[in-house]
Amino acid sequence: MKLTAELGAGARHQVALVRDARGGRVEFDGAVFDVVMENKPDGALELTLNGHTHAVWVAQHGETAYVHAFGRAWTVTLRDPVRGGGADADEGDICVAPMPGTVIEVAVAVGERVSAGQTMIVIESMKMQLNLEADRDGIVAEIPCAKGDLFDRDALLVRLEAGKE
Amino acid sequence: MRRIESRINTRSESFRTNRAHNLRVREEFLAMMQDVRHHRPERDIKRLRDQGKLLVRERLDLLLDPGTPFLELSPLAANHAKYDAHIKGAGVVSGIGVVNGREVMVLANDSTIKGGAVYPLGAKKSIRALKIALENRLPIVHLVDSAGAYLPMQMDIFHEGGHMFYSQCRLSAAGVEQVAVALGHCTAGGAYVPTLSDYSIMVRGSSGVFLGGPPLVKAATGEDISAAELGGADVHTRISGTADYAVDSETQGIALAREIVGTLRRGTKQTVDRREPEAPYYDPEELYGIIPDDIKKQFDMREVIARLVDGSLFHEYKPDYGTTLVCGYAYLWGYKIGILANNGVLFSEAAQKATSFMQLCDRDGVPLLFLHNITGFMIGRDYEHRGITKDGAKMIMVQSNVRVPKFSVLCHASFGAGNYGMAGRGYDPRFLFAWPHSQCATMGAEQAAKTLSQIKIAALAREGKQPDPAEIQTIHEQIHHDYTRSNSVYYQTSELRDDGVLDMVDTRNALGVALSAALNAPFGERQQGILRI
Amino acid sequence: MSAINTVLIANRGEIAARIIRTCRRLGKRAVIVYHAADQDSLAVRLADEAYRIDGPTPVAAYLSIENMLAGCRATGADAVHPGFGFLSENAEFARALDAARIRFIGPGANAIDAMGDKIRSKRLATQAGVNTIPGYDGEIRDANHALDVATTIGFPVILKASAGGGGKGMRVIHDADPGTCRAAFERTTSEAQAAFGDARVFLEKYIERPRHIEIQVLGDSLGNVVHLGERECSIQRRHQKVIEEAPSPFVHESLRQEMGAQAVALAKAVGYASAGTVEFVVDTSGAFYFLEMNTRIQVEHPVTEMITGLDIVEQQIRIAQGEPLGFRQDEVRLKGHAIECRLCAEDAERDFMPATGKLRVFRPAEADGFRLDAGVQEGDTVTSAFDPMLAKLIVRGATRAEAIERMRAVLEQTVALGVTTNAAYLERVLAHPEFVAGNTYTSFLEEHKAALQVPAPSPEQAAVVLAAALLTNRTLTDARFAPPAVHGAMHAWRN
Repeated sequence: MKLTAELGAGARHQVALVRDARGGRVEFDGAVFDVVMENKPDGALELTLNGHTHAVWVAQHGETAYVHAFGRAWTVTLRDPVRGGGADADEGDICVAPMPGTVIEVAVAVGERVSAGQTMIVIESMKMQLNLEADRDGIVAEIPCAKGDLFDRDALLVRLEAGKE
Repeated sequence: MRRIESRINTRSESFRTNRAHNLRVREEFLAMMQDVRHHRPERDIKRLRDQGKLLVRERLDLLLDPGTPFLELSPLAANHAKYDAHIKGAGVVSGIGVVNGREVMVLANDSTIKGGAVYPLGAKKSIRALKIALENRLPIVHLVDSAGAYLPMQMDIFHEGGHMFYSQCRLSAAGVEQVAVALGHCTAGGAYVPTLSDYSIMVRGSSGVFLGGPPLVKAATGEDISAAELGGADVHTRISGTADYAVDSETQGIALAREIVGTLRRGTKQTVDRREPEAPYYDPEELYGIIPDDIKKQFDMREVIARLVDGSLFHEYKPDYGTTLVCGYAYLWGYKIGILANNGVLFSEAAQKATSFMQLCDRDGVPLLFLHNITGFMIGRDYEHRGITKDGAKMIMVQSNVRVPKFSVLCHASFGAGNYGMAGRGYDPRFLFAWPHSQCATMGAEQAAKTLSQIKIAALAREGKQPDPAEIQTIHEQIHHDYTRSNSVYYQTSELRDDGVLDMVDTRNALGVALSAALNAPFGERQQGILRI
Repeated sequence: MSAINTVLIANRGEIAARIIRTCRRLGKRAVIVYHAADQDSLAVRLADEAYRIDGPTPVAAYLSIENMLAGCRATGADAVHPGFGFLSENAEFARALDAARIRFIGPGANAIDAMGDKIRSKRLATQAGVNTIPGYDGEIRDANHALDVATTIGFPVILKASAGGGGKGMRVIHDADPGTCRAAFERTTSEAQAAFGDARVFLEKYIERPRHIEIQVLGDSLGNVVHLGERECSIQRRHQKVIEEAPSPFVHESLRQEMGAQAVALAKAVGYASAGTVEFVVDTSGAFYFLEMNTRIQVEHPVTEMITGLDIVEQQIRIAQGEPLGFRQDEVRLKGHAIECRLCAEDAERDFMPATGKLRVFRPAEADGFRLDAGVQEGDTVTSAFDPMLAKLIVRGATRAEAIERMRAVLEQTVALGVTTNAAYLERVLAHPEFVAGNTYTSFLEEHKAALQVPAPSPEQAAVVLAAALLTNRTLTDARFAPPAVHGAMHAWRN
């Protein structure tokens, strides 16, 4: 099962890890990377990926990893697949692809106010067209896809501005 | 151990001819697999999507650990069955995979095939999966999504279905864990699948567990009730306690099943002699050129062994005696195994050698691999007088009673008593696989045609009639045709007389997964029968 | 006056720790008050003695004069250093300490009072010969009056609603065109009426592209006052300083002398005896105008210390002990260039929302010319009880360019994990060509907002970061859940 990892403010990626003795294979957003990881005596980690070696610091807390790499800090949060869905407060904020396909039409624009049930994106998958509708009233914050784009299942297609509770 | 020295000339005429033939056979096989696994009418897929459901292989993808193998069992079940439609895979997907690091048996309904309705071969396939789980002590994950028994054929499903639930109970008593995710309706008997499992997960909105569904309830008592109200996820997790967990989506349910499998106890596996795995020295792709294009043609099994085992290393036992059977030790994916492989008809000496060898493996805890290319035991006066029947019996006696797991691969022909000696289906090997061109029966088509023609001629002679050559010819051809059809691997696999047809080059991995799975069950104490010396 | 024996620090965080350091060096006993929220803090650990205080909120505890007096009694402190913020500019506190015969390491209460009132301080400044922002002291009657006043003040001017605020009811008039003036007056008054119900407007000089430049002064109890040069603090967000430097890239020697002289004059005029800062706005022509005087040590004082070699806290203590300044104005030398970055617990990607969490890893960089004034240590929990500043990163270089380069290296190499900080954002500012060119105005951060946004990771960066996160995740890498070796080696094989 792929996990959803959130990197920084809202960028979501589908990730999977197959561990081996020296590191593992990291799959993210469809691309696969072989990674070798070594622990350094001062507490840092050395990661080799794509032939380049990087010095990295990590602090873990539950499902959140704080990473220092490339001269700055990053936050990675893994979403729990058992809890992910339904009861989540921000579930209605995002519209993800239910299956792989193509974007046929983008019917809304960033900043536009949408109402629950309004069609935002039309996709085609397995020779069927599907209207992706807004789960709730809101304002479109981000549309990371365009007409004609191919996408995988769980790809983020529309994001609404965080709902007020 | 020494590396087998291959004598194959990959540039020879016969190699090229064989290869061309076997690749064609392979193409045909792969096309069938592709069709059975992936081709579904659009309306069936749409129906599933409208119900918010995932396809069975999508569910498998979510369940299994990324970057791990999945050995699918009998994918071509029911491909020759005379049902009202082609019930692909018998409507069931079963196989061995890894979930949260644990080897499990997965048993899933394919609801794109008649809503997952259970046909006779579907029941048989499920029971086979449960038996494998029991013998190898593999926890089971049920992904249930079935419309129930296919009623027009209920006569052939009723007791088999019951036996499936019985098997679940016996599994439970044997300490084999079962986790069920109800991804659709589980009606009537089907309601027992999740309920007899140790852990039962239901999905709000799509799962329903009830002995009688809404239509039956309406008919029987006049009560009007929705599936959710009758036996939905919340009813069974909050009110009746029939299920254990309620989730909001299939993905969540499968994630939860993964989590549960992760909590299952990890015992220690049966140990066997091990070394670091190593790929075969020779290229397994060469098998396409080694295996002949005709079932009657022979080849040296050592060439097959060399393309299956680690480093192509093999220690041959008693190489100069009983030379029509090759016996020896090798490592496969690091596990030490004992191999018995046919290089001709079985003579007494070969049977005796096999018997001794299997005794050694039984005592030393070495799993056995049988590579079949056998038309039978040698027959005739001299051989009979020298005790070929006795020697065959000894071989079968020891083979039947070994405590170590047995694995069989039908590499070419596998007929008659030879199949028996080599642990054919009737001898309960843990796993039995067949190559796409292989044939298996009481006897080969040619021999059957000859034999039955002979019998016909003899019968006519008793009546004082002369055989009509044309009639004999027709009988000959008819029998040849029928036998060729029923001997074919697709017919066999359709009826679940094997655990799956394998592309030759997949055999090594399939056996690796199977071996690893088998070691989840302890070997137990040695207990042999009486040998007629 | 006798030497001070024990200093009670009426403050917390990095300034408290920093003051303790100087007390140690001078052989003074350093004691501290603390609220329970700061129980495990660095400053409390460093102090010779700590006295627990309380209040309706943690901040309120540090604002209670009674708490401080109790702390002095309990610890036997004979002097109090108030740091900055809290009670540092509270004349009543200074008087209370006086009455208790405890020395206040700061200016006299009268000086605090005088400079605490904006109108009064502006008047005093004018009297002392300090430039103040020209404006008309009264209501503008009509468009003609506006034109007259504006001409007197000098263009550009800004018309502001008397009752206004929030950027509404303001209009800049750039030149003496009567038509423009009339239009501006009419629109501004009608806006003011609509927004605030009061059409009255006033006029003052409009400072274009202001820089915030301040002068550090030091005065002793004998009337000697010197200045220690300027600091430029134009990099501000919502009037909060983010990056400060000394000297200013804009100020040349003669301007420094002019501003310094005026700052000194003001300090003398109120009999200022301690460290203080006179803040100015400076326009693009070099014209400078008094804003206010802060009668305390400032957050950004380290940059002055780095280029003068002086310890300002030490100077304050000496002054409080009655010592004369140990040097003359012409002995003050400015050498090199220093920059300070305020490392704060805030999320630059979410509009600088304050961040909380546990500082799980804190490994400051090691570099030449780098000084760290930290209030936190690894393992501290950062809460919203106090302001979000975690530490001050200060670097010195021989030139401004070298200082910038060193600071960028420090920001990149300092590892702070567990709480989101503005480190990456600070680095973006320092890398911006306009900052490098020294074109720093108070509008800088707003003007260059888009360019300063921390960019999204490249695919390779994301891959490395995600890989690091996954490979160190306890659950994912738990050997218990790893596939058996044989299966791992087969990868995703299917028959």
